[in-house]
Amino acid sequence: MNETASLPTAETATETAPEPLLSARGLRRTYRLPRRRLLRPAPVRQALRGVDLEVREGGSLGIVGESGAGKSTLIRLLLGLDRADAGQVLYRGREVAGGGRPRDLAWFRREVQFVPQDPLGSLDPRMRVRDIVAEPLECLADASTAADGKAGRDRRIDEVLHAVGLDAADVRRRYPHEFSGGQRQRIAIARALAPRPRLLIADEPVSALDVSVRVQVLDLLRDLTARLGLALVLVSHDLGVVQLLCEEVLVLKDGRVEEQGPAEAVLRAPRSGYTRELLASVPSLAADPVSAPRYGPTR
Amino acid sequence: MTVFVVRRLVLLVVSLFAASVLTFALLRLLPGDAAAAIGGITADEAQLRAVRHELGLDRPLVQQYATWLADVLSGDLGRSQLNGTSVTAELGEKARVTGPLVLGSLALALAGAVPLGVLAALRHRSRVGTGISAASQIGIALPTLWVGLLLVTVFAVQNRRLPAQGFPVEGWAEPGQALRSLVLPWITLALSEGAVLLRFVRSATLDVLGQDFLRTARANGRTRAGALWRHGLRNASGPVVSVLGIQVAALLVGAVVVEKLFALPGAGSMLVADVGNRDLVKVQGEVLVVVAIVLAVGFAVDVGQRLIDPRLRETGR
Repeated sequence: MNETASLPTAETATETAPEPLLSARGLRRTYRLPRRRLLRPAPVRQALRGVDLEVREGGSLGIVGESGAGKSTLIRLLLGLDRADAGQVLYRGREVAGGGRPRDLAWFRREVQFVPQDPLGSLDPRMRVRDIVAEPLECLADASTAADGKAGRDRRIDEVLHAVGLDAADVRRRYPHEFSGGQRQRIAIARALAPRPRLLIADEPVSALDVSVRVQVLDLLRDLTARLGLALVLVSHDLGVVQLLCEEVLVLKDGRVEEQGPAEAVLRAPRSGYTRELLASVPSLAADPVSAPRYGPTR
Repeated sequence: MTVFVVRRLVLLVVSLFAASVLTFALLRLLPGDAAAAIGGITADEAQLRAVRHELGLDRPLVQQYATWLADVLSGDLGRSQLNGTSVTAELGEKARVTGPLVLGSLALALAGAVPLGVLAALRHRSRVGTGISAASQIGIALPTLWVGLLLVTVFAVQNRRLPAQGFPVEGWAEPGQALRSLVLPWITLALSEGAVLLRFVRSATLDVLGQDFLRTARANGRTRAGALWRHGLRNASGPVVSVLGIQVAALLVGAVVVEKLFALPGAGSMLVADVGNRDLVKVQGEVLVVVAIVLAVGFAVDVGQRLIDPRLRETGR
């Protein structure tokens, strides 16, 4: 890491907050690309070149970076969907997926849930909303929840649908294609909330939505995380979104952490030139009353 | 849904009607005269006229068609112009060979193509996947006739395990014999159909594997296999079912070749023989039945698609 990327957060965190909920150390991931020449070895792409991060209980971390910076790869590793070539993902100090037995991750998935980018694509078109929301409950049932049986599950489904502002009785038996983009994202959020997670990992949760409904979904996410005390990892290329929802920011560039720190500080006075470029490239922030004033003095 | 089914039914009836007109008209256009075939070369003009009159061939075409259609609707496909046997009865008889042949090879093709296609998709970058794909390409490229001959050479000539051709005279009264004589035809037909199906299963599965909901299902706690089973196969089934409908027509054509090759007394070899004999009444009856089967399968596929895909269900068309 270069000088600009040194992190004051790690030390302050140990003083003021309990142990980190989710942390990553030295994550590396390389992908093999399709061969270009017959006799040469297949080219590789280093998606992550050693990434460290930390999220505290109830904390929120925004990960920003351009396309290709390694955001999606990082999300896959943090979710235990893919294995790192080197480095570890730890949840409450316990290693996630490192051993290579992805089946045994129920303990982790009960507490860490995922809000995807494209709500339509992430909802199985052939399932009713009720079954979609029930899925994590079915897969992740443990001794305590299994006792509740079907009735308990149905109650939980209604509860989370209500929590995201949908009329449970109305939507339960409908299919994803009958909803608008914003409503679909609410369904996806309800599904993530169903198993009572402690941490949500959201991958560009509003980038597929109309501008008009973005704010609603962002407000919903902010309210829910605050009310339920959820920690949040949010990946976005939209700095406005990150600023609205996150206390901490991590700037990713070419698979490395370019800059990391409290959102306020990083966005107001970025140390890295790359972050400054990212900030400068945000279009029409002045139109956004929440973020407009803070961007003024960055140049 | 009901609206759709009714609409689709109307379409089915209209296509069946069109098919009957076409079958009837096209066969009239063929050169060759049934009367000449029956009368033989020694018949004089008066005798030929008498035969034509007896067969109703001297009446106007529309009238001939109307009579024929009325008979068909009452289940009577007419009588052979050559030997006077009932076409319906004979078709029913032959269907006892062709039916099991086609359905059996379809089942066999599916049983092989679905798991192998899914495997080829899951391992599409490895040797296993490439190997399966290559094998299916070869399966598509090989002519059915040649595959059949190869199987006969290996299992009937060299090994003498299975009959090279024929079907027991007693038919299904001799079930063991009947099944044994169908084994090679089943495999022959299933190999070429299965190879095509496999490619569709593979590409449909690959398509689904790239979908977000599979990744999300895994994040929700499903295993890779569980996610594929629960979300993948159902979503991949749509395109596969469509192709299956088209493949049924191909299977019927394939049955003609295979029945000829294995000397099976089925509807396919009967059709070939009747075309050779210019037995118009029989041919038009048989063609109509085949067309009706293909159209009916198309109808079943369309309705089935609606049932498995809720996105299609609500829209009227």
